[in-house]
Amino acid sequence: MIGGISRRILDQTRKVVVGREEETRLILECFLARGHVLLEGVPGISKTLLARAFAKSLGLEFKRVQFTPDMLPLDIVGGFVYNQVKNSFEFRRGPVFTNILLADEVNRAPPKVQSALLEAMQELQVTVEGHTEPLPTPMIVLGTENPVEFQGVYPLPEGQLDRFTMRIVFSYQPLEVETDVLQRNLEDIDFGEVEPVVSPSELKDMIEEVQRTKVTREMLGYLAKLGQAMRADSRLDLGPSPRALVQLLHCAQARASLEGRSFIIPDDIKARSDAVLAHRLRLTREVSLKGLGTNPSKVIADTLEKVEPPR
Amino acid sequence: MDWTDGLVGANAALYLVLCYQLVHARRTKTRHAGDLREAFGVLEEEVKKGMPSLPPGHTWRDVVTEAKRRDLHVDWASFGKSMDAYEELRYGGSERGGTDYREVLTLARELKRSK
Repeated sequence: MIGGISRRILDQTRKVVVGREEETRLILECFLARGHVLLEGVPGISKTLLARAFAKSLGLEFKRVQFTPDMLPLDIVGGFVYNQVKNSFEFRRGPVFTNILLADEVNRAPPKVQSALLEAMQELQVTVEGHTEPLPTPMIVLGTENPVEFQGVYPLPEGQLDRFTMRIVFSYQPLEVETDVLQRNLEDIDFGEVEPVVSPSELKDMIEEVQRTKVTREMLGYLAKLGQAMRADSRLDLGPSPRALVQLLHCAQARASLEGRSFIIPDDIKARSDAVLAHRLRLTREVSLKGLGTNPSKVIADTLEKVEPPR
Repeated sequence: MDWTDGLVGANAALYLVLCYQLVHARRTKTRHAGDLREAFGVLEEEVKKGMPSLPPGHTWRDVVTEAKRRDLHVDWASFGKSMDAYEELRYGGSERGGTDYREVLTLARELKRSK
């Protein structure tokens, strides 16, 4: 069932976004794994377009917030405003109360705002002055980080990066695809073409199906070995947290389910290790300064080569 | 050179041919396996010897990719079905009855032969 639905979603997003099937698939996996995504790429590379098309194909509510240095937490989570008619304060919900939130340039906001958003992502609820409101379900945050603009940026600390299940890097398209993108843009992009192809009950079923995907104890052991091997790697100051491994497990379940399997195999873990772990690892100062072609992805790839999976 | 030297030469040639055939037969003999799990066990042994470049972290899918790259004579459609059944058994805990695993042993034999 789940494979058929994912094809329908890809067909819809393809109507407005050219050549981003892999990225769409990753966002869908993350969504089914009940996680949040960090989209990284230069401006104008169709991150927002894809996020909007994805939300529309799922028939979910979508909101976009452009993060700026002068923001306050209440601009995101909402706050109490005085109602003159009722002569009382009432809670006005912020943009975080939606199903899909595109948090554009999340690292431009001051730390207090980032932390308010990230807390909401983690808890799936908002508490303001003792008043708690649950967020709608399902809820996913697609945060974007812009790597070329450094002025006025507050980099996300490791603890907050850890809240994002996946980081998806949007790179430039190959020549042929870029030509198709230009061709596609000869006419105005009409979001009306994108139709919702999943019902709320189907979405719920998909998420439940992913949760039911079988994982043997041996596979859990393999995942734990990977985590420990990375933590023991002398090139790293900070290895993957247990939360990171749990999220990798959920993403592996989502991948297996999208491939029509009711159980995960080592390839599911290997295939999603980089997207789930690379943004959480921190190289030692020496390795960072020397460079030598080492980056967190290289450490992950080396570990995957070294640790024997159950066969 | 008398006729005895010729006989010795002929004998030596005959033994050489026999030895070659014996070695060849050993290398191309398809090993026996009692079930799917055993067949993959046989394949694993041959992978260790025949694909030393594969890192310890390889998976069965990496083996297939490498074997296809080497253009080994295997019916990949049939092998794929056996692998699906094995993965279901190994990682899913459920057994499909009557799975044909001949191509798993064929791949093991091909690996041995290609060394």
